[in-house]
Amino acid sequence: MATFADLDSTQIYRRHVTVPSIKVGMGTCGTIAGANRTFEAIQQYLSERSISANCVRVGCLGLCSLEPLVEVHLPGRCRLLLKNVHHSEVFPILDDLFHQILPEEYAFAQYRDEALSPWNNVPFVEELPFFSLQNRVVLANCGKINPFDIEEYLSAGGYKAFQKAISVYTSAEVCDLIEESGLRGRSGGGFPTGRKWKSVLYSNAAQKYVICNAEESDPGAFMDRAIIEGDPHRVLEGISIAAYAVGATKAYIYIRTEYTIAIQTLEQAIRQAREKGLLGQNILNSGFSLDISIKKCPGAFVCGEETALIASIEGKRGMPETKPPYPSAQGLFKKPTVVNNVETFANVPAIIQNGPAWFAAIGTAQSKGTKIFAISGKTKYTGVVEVNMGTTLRKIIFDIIGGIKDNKRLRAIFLGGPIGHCLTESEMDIPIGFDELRQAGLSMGSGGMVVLDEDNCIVDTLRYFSHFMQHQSCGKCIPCREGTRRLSEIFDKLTRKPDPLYKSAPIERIKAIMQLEPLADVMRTTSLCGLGQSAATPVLSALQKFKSDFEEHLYERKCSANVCKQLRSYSISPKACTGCGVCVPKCPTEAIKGSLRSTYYIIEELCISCGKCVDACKFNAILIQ
Amino acid sequence: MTFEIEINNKPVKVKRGETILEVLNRIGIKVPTLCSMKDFVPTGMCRLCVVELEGRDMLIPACSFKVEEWMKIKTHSPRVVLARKTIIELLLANHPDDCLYCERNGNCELQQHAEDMHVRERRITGQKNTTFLDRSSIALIHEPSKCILCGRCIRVCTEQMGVSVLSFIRRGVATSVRPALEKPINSSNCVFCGQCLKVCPTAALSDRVNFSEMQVFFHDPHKKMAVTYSPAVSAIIAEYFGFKTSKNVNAVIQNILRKIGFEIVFDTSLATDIMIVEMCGDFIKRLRENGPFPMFSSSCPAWVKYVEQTHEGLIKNLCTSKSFSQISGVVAKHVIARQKSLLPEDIYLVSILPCTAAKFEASRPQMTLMGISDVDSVITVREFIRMIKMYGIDVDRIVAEIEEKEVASTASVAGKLVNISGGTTEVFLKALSHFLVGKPFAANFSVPRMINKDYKEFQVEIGDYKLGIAVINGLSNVNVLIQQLSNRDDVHFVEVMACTNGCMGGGGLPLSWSKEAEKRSIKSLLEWAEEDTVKWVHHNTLLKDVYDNYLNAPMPSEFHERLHTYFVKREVLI
Amino acid sequence: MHDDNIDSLLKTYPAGRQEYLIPALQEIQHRWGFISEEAVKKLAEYLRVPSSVIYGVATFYNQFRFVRQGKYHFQICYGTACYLFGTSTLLEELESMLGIKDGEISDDGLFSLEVAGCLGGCAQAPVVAVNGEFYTHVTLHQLRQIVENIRLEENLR
Ligand SMILES: Cc1cc2nc3c(=O)[nH]c(=O)nc-3n(C[C@H](O)[C@H](O)[C@H](O)COP(=O)(O)O)c2cc1C
Ligand code: SF4
Ligand code: SF4
Ligand code: SF4
Ligand code: SF4
Ligand code: SF4
Ligand code: SF4
Ligand code: SF4
Ligand code: SF4
Ligand code: FES
Ligand code: FES
Ligand code: FES
Repeated sequence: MATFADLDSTQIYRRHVTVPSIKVGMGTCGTIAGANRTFEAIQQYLSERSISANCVRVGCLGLCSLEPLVEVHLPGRCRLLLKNVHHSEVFPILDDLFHQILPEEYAFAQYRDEALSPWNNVPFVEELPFFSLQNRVVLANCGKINPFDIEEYLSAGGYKAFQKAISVYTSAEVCDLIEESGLRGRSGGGFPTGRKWKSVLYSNAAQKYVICNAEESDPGAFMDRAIIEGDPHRVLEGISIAAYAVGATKAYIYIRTEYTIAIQTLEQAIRQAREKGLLGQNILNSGFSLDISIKKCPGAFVCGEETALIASIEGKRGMPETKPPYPSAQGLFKKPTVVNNVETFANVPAIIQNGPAWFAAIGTAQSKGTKIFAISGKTKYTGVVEVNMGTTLRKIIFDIIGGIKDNKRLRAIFLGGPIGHCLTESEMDIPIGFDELRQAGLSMGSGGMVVLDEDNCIVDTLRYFSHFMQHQSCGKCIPCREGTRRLSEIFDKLTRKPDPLYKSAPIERIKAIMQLEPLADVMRTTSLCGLGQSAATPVLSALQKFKSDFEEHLYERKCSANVCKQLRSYSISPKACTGCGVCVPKCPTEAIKGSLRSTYYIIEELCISCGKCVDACKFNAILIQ
Repeated sequence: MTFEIEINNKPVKVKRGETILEVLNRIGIKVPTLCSMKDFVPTGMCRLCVVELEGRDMLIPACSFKVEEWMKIKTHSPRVVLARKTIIELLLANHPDDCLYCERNGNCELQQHAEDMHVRERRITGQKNTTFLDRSSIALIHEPSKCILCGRCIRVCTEQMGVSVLSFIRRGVATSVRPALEKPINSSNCVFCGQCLKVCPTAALSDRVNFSEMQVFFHDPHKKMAVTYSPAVSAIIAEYFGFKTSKNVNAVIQNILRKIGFEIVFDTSLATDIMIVEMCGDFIKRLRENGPFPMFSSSCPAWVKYVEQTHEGLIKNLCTSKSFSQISGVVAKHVIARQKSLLPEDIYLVSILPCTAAKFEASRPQMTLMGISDVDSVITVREFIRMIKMYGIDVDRIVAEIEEKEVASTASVAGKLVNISGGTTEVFLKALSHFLVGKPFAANFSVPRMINKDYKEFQVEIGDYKLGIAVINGLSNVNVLIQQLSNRDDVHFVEVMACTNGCMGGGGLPLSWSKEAEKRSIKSLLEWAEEDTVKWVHHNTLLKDVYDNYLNAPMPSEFHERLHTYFVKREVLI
Repeated sequence: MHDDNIDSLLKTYPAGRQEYLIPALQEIQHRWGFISEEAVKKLAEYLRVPSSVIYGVATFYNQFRFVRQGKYHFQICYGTACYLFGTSTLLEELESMLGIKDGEISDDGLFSLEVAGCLGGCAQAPVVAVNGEFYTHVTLHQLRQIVENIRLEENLR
């Protein structure tokens, strides 16, 4: 049986390397961007040139749009971050570097180290707001250590908190510490974690369970994935501490099947933790035993909801149940169960290690610690950032993540994806925090942030969200099942021309809009679970803030962002049309009439605005308005 | 423990553990419900029963929340009423506007809710789910477009019947209720007990109505219309129409049937007596040949199909005697026909039963011999009631009179008892004692004790024979015994009826048939049996006559083939 | 052959426990690309879960298919980021090019199509995957190219 003394091993941040050390970001984003091929190319390069160097895969730094991201540490030189290193560029880049020439185009940043010589004209990490304005507590190791190697986590101080918990504290004391720290659930609800643990600890049952909720299927959220891919042991350690704190001997990690890399990472991590005796029977001679299993969710957004999640682990349809009873009283297999989010668990080791006071000192009065956000959409960088609670959205969007892409104008932010609120520029100065946002009539959501610029259409985005919700509703209760469908139909009607077959369409549209609010309210107040209750949230909040966009679509049948294809009107410019007739067979509704070699014209009533003729016309004769 | 809560501004005493809905029902406040069922754990699916809690934004379903001290409940505040109405409108927006042509018109919970909430406008409109209509089965019609996904059928089929034919499939608006792999009902493991359609609030599940098909034959000059009905039908009709002329109910029913146009009218009692004799024959043969035991009763077609598909190995244990309904066909076409100098094919026989599975039974190929079916058409009590209305029969005014005495109208009490769980066992054991040892049955067992018990096992002694007997109703209760059978040899006869309490809880009963109505109709049946003079099957003088003159002697006869049947393994997904 | 394998696969799970239904379905889907009727039957027997329930559970989730996968399995991401970058147009084009819709397989068995939730490459949206190989920042032109290349290759073969 291993003890912690044995577990102390090599330093990972060696300042003085003797051979070059190369790290490739191989999280999901990196992999999709081709990091595997980059990695292979580097190895090929090293072997072809017979260069001895360490080349390892790491998790991500959270700079998704710069992937594949490669860190190169040459002996004596500062560690250098290279962006967008595609496999075809590997050879020239490494050729340059090994000749001490900077591949300027790819250099992104370097880490300052007085003992090492810096690269010229490359900003230091702390000079970049992306790094300097973040406070990476949970993400401290991400992109730095090799997530497939437990040794690296151990040498970064890993599992010390767990050891401290099981050897120094009683279960109740651990719960107290967590409660004192003020940690609140990171999935968005902000439920006090310590309180949840206590109710499970004090419930009378022979068997209890801990579940780590890594379902994360709201589109646009990928914080949990980044944590797991970059630092899986931190999550395992958090789960282990929680299990000890509530008296559970079995824990599950419920994770989306699509997260293949995260799953592999976790499987490897669990295996290594078992080998080290950090999981299993009588862990480190403490008498505490724990087993962690991975359950893969076969794909359903609603399974993020805790009771649906539990049904799914039990092998049933993932349909939520009425609460109470809450999982903490009657959860998995009807036993008391703690369900927490990945990020919540990942916060736990540092709290135990540094004490609750340290944690409580970060953040705002009611919201302690940091929060991780995943930002996608039209920002300069996209990726994952961790900031102190209390940071403003403006700082995140305009400073850390570089503002809107191509200097366009920000149109809206959807905070919490399809069940979250929609925010405008004027709300950018609200500090992030559960209560702060609630007071402003908003909510934090899980941390997914979708940023829209002036090219995006609000109504169309809502149409997308409502369609998503319609397909994700579990179908159990009527207001959600039927309501989400009617909502999405209302948006279909708004973004479409009147259907010539359906004469009453104009009235239907206006009728539908009038029903939008009362319908949304019934959905919110009567649905069984959080999905139905918040399915209309983005609609309701956008309805207030983007009234003119709705009106434009409704009354003028116009989409000024030019996104709603079906609202565009198409015509043929008689000047440009050569009468070639190429467009005619492409039109699915035969809306284009005329005769060969004279000009053609489009019959507006027949045109469904599909845009096929535009693609077909080689003379740019088709005009869109 | 009791405490007080506030409902609509008035204090109400409640017990801990009660749901809000139970309290409201008790104090006479009605809130609409669609998904909740008595004696089943609430699911909270439909949200129709929502009520407002003072100070809370969210409405909560009364069916799935227990009362707590702090609760101040509003059951009909404007918000609540609007929410309920919206929920109904949401359902209607995805519902075919088909009421006038619908099987459930006038008897539909959805329609009733829409009416109660005064829905008078198609406020919410949009696409409707279009699904096909599953008419594959002879007993059950499934019309998913009228399904409101309340889940009641699934729960009854799974929890009460233990068959699990139906399940929710897909999700969101694509959710529907279907058999495994979306097979048609007919090729699924459905046993056609009809329990699901009894609880379905709409016409999504209904039985196949045969009477328009049947009506054609009233105009066929080559057919004599005959009808048989079980005494249970009389009891149910009497209860349904509320007539009190208890002694003459049989006469009233006969009169009604004649007024409708049937020429030959008889109840199933004689056939029941024959069935009991044939069961004894099968049993005695098993005693001589050492098994196979236990012998299972086979008069419930739902149970028979269940064995055929789920327990291939037990097929040989099913008693080979046909059910009384099918034997009625033999009586009509071979006994009555001969009496009246008719050919079997001249008779069109309708059998009225509280059972939907019998429709399926009548269609089994084994039930047709040389082109002549035993029973040509099975109609349920529900259909019978509809016929009564359609033919303009004013039940209250029918004078109790029997116009003509048919051969089949003398019989023992058996016909009245076999529709109740335990009844078959009682009359079977009594007859067995006579045929086996020639003495009256001494053991102390009678039907009333079985009512509301779903499982009972006991020992009887007939002469030197010590016999183990089990009586089971509700199909889900049968598996406990079946699992034990491999290492038990002390069970000799098992009576199984698929429906709770037997056919008196059958799938062909009037919809919204209450437990009280069920109890009262069982009570009438038992009272009539009490009044009957012929207590023992073998005391039926007619029986001897029938066997001697028409069917020859009991067992080895040319009629054996007509009175017995066989069973086959069924390949369905379980 | 197929069934034998299902039997041995099932043996790796304890019998009669519904909680192993989803992992078993996942494994079957992983090995054979779809869930056959035979598989449902065997699962029902082994786990003692009615086949109606198995079908109900399997159709609840996105992952399970009851028809074979095509030789080329297209996954097109319909996540938020991809949507903002025009997936809907891509999907329309793909559907018309392949002549199939979500969850279907083409008559020649060559193509199958799956509209997927976020594939994890939001920063490189829109994302399309063919047999697990990712294409990022996909344009209509590129999409047509992908399909044409496959067709060409198949004809040469
Ligand atoms: C529709 C819906 C989806 C959810 N999805 C997730 C999810 O993907 N991940 C998650 O951690 N929690 C999700 N939740 C919240 C969980 O139900 C649960 O509250 C959470 O896991 C508790 O963790 P916490 O206390 O650590 O925040 C979701 C809730 C709802 C209503
Ligand atoms: S609100 Fe929607 S997701 Fe939640 S139980 Fe109802 S139908 Fe299912
Ligand atoms: S936009 Fe489409 S429908 Fe309209 S004319 Fe062009 S091809 Fe035809
Ligand atoms: S393709 Fe262009 S140029 Fe040719 S007929 Fe059409 S509009 Fe005119
Ligand atoms: S099921 Fe009810 S509401 Fe539906 S059509 Fe029939 S009667 Fe009308
Ligand atoms: S109630 Fe109205 S719609 Fe129905 S039949 Fe009578 S008149 Fe017609
Ligand atoms: S008829 Fe009986 S077995 Fe068939 S689906 Fe209905 S309840 Fe189940
Ligand atoms: S078929 Fe009837 S009982 Fe079953 S879910 Fe549909 S409406 Fe409810
Ligand atoms: S118990 Fe009676 S009513 Fe029910 S299925 Fe059996 S025979 Fe029919
Ligand atoms: S690079 Fe790691 S989440 Fe995108
Ligand atoms: S009756 Fe209460 S939710 Fe349906
Ligand atoms: S939205 Fe398509 S990869 Fe995330």
